[in-house]
Amino acid sequence: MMKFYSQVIVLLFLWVIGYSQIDETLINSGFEQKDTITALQPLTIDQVKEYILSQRSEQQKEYIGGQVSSIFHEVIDDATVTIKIEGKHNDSVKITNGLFVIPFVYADKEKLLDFHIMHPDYHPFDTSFIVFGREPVVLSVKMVPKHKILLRGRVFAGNLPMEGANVEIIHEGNTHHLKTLGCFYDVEDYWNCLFDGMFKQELIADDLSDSINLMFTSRGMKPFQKGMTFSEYSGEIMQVKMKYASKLPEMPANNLNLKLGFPFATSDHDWFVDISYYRALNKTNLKRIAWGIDGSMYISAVSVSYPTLPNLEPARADSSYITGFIGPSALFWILSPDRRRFSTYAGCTFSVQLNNPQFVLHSFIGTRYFLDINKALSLEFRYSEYDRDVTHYVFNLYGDATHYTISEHFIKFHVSLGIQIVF
Amino acid sequence: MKILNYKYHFLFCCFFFLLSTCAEEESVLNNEDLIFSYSFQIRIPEYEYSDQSGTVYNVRGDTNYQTGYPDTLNNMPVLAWDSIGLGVITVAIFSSKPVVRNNEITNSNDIVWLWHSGMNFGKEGYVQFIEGKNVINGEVDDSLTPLMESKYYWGVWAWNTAGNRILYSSMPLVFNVVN
Repeated sequence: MMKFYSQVIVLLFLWVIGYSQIDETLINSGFEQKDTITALQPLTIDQVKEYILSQRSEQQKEYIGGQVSSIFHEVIDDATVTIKIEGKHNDSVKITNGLFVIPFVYADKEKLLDFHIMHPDYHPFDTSFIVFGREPVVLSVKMVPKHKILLRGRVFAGNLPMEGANVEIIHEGNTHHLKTLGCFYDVEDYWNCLFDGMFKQELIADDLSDSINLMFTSRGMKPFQKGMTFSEYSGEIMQVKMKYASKLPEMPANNLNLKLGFPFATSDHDWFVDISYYRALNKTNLKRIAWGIDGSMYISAVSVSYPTLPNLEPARADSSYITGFIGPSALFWILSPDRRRFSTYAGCTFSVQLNNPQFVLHSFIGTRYFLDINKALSLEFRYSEYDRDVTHYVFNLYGDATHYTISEHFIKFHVSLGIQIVF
Repeated sequence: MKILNYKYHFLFCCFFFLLSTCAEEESVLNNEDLIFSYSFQIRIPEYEYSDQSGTVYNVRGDTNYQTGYPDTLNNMPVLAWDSIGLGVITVAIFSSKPVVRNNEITNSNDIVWLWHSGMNFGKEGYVQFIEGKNVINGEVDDSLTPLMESKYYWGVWAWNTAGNRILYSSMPLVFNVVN
């Protein structure tokens, strides 16, 4: 019998735990990761020259063109190239794939050409030179980047990475809005949690003393703010620990409980198992009252003493009794149920005893402490009285003892530990 | 939420598997040779004893049961067995073969002599005739009368510590009394 009930307890635990994970799996199942970008490699000077010649039309124009890359050999896109001939504005183009070509009207005499490249991430590039002749001018420009950092961090709720947290990064009047990443199925269809709770943002600044402000917000958490200068960022992944707010983001409507009372915490050294479900009343004035159903079970060891042989100590026969109860239950939250810590309740269950039909009243008072947004540990004191049949024995000198049953009254008072899931 | 992954499910299962298996009791096999067939065996070794005149009697123990040939003993035999260390134990001499139904001896009226661990003399594993008492109509009497010339059976049985179930018993051994 004990074996059967142990298996029932296993199933109940697995079900409760599995249930609590459903929402997370659903949220993450559609996620796609695009985290790797391959940088373009600069072309050789011959390849650049070939590109410029390919842009040449039959009109009598000459070309100035070339490739723009950084001193770290990264091709620069979206820079603006402007040329002035003899101080007059001639043309300006946006660079694509690091290459540019600007046509200009050829003249038979030498001309002064002012060349200027602008890009927000790089220091401006300025130069002047004299052009003469019909050959295209091929340039290879190396730009010096401003200070650039890849700001990376991981946001934790307690000790667990938290996905979907809002991250605001304020720098030089610009605000970047990000969300922390979650787990995802990668290209090989593995469940990948490498970037769980992480964010990253590239920032560029002229001055290393520029300030960066980070603001973290998430549902049910206290807002968290962090400030630093550009130079203070070491380049490592920042560990940001957010704390839970003192109240839940919304009043929990449903409440699923699994409680366990251990022999050391019960008046008669019993095991106690209880599973219950409560739903808060959907009225503004009565939101502290919840009703539901409560099923509980005592596993009691009852010892009876009886005489055996003369001159010997009376024998003690121990038997295990399983007494089950089920019935409607109501509870009242003495301290508001949206408190994360020690929201306290009192209630009673009017239940039917399963193996000896009679009505039994269980009264209880308890408190709970949330571990995260929807899971809490609970501590409960419970009192109940009931009658049940207990087997007694009469010693038989010539064989097994004969037995008979007596209805006995039990008074139970115990403490139970439990886990609650609210939704 | 990662704390509740499959690794922890596995640990939960292992824990409750251990919990469910530790409650298993050692199973008792059916042994029809014993007085109480669903019990563990009390072994009776071969031994000798002598009476006041110095005559030595040999008890062949469990070998006696296997051969079916009765030992020949005096009218106040000594009964011995391998001690099992249990507190509630009885040894009895029957005038006919003990019969057990529903784990209870039904022919208790055939018991002529009995010793149990609640008596003032004798020790578990070795009992002299004078340390036990006569049984009349199934009730233990304070008198003690030597056995008459006849064929008798004897056996030992013991209860569990709770005293409500026969846990050990011996084979019923047969002997003849000659004066």
